[in-house]
Amino acid sequence: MPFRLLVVDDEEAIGFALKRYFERQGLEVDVTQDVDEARALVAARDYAVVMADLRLRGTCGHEGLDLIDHVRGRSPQAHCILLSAYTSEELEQAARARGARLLLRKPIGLPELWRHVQELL
Amino acid sequence: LSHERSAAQAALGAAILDHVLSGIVALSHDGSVSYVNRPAAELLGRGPEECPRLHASQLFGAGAAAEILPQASASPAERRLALDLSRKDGGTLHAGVSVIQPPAGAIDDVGVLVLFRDLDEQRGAEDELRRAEGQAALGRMVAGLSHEIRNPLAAIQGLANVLMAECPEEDPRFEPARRIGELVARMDRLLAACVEAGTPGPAHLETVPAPVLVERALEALPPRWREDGPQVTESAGDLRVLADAAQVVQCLRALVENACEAAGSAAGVRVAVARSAGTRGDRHVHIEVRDAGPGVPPPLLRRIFEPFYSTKPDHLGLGLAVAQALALRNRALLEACSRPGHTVFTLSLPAARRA
Repeated sequence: MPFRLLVVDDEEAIGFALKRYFERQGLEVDVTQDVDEARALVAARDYAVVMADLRLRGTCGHEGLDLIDHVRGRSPQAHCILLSAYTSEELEQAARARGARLLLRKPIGLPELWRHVQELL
Repeated sequence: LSHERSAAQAALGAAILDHVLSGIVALSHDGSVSYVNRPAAELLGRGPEECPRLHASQLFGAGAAAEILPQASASPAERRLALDLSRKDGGTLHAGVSVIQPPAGAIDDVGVLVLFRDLDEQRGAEDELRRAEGQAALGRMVAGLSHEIRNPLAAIQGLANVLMAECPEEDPRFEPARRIGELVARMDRLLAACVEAGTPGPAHLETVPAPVLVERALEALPPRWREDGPQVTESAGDLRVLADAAQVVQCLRALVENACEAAGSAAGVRVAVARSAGTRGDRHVHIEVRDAGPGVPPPLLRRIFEPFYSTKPDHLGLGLAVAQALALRNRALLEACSRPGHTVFTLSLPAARRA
């Protein structure tokens, strides 16, 4: 059975590109732009990897971190990767403390992102 | 006991007066100096012990003394003046002066109290504050903008990667997709440089010898500038500054690289470390980076720290803007002056208090 990947990003084109690219690598990919829908998907399905943007509502918030908490509670086997257009040492520490395996800075090449996913699987 | 207590109180009072920011001078009724605090002596370029024998006209200069000393008929009052006071070395101190004339007999043998501050230093500090505020606002804007641009950039990068993954390399669509990826990487590097210029991290200040900072900056130069290396012409090892070492090294490195590029060679570049020769004596340590390049004409010199401003072809024009941002973070002043045949950048760092 193929690994299942959930992509959560409010930039629609990013979701489109990630789905198309990772399906080509043999993964089953769900995409959503909405945090609440992401929570429902995590509750309903087992994901090997959840890949989420840090800011999901176009605000200065860190909804991606909250989503990780939800994933850790519902689906502890899932690896979480956070993507953000901005990173810092403090943010990286916060992401790790919440249980994220990686915090990667956008833009990132998809072959590189795929290498990170393969290492986790 | 009461004698000891009053002696202790007098010592405390003297210590406080020597550490306030203003110069304070007490003049007797005949216009002779009866007291100066340490800042007053320093501002006027004198030793504290030599002042009490002087007349006000010798201490401040005749013109300033005439303004300060009250007319015989004047009633007790406080006056505020902007005066040019004479320094012992022949220089002039542009001072904001308060002249306080206490009621007769209110303070033993004190006719006039004179309080003054260096206006240039005060204006410099105000300019610096305005510049820091402007820089911080620009930094926030750049950081916000870069965040907004990086999201669509990530999408463009992803879509280019999808195209490349779906086309064999010989497909005519493969090469355009690869080039799109390259351009995205270039824009991302540009954004990273802008963010760095606008928002360097907070400075973690520590006491560090200034010559060590210079040494580390020179070691960090690219190899092409290290061979005929810039010369350190003057370097007093005991000059310690309060600085974030990594940030100041980065700032100095940018200054030295700029000097090498301006002159086309590292051979004529000179770096010197010296204590402040300014009116406030030992408060700052200057690090000077001098090149023997063609010099920068005044209209261009005024814009030299602006981001994206460069007189050199193929330069982004961020090196000196980053250096200025780092200087501001470290409460240092970075200034440039230029004549045909040379340009000097001076980084003035706060001196560390001696242990």
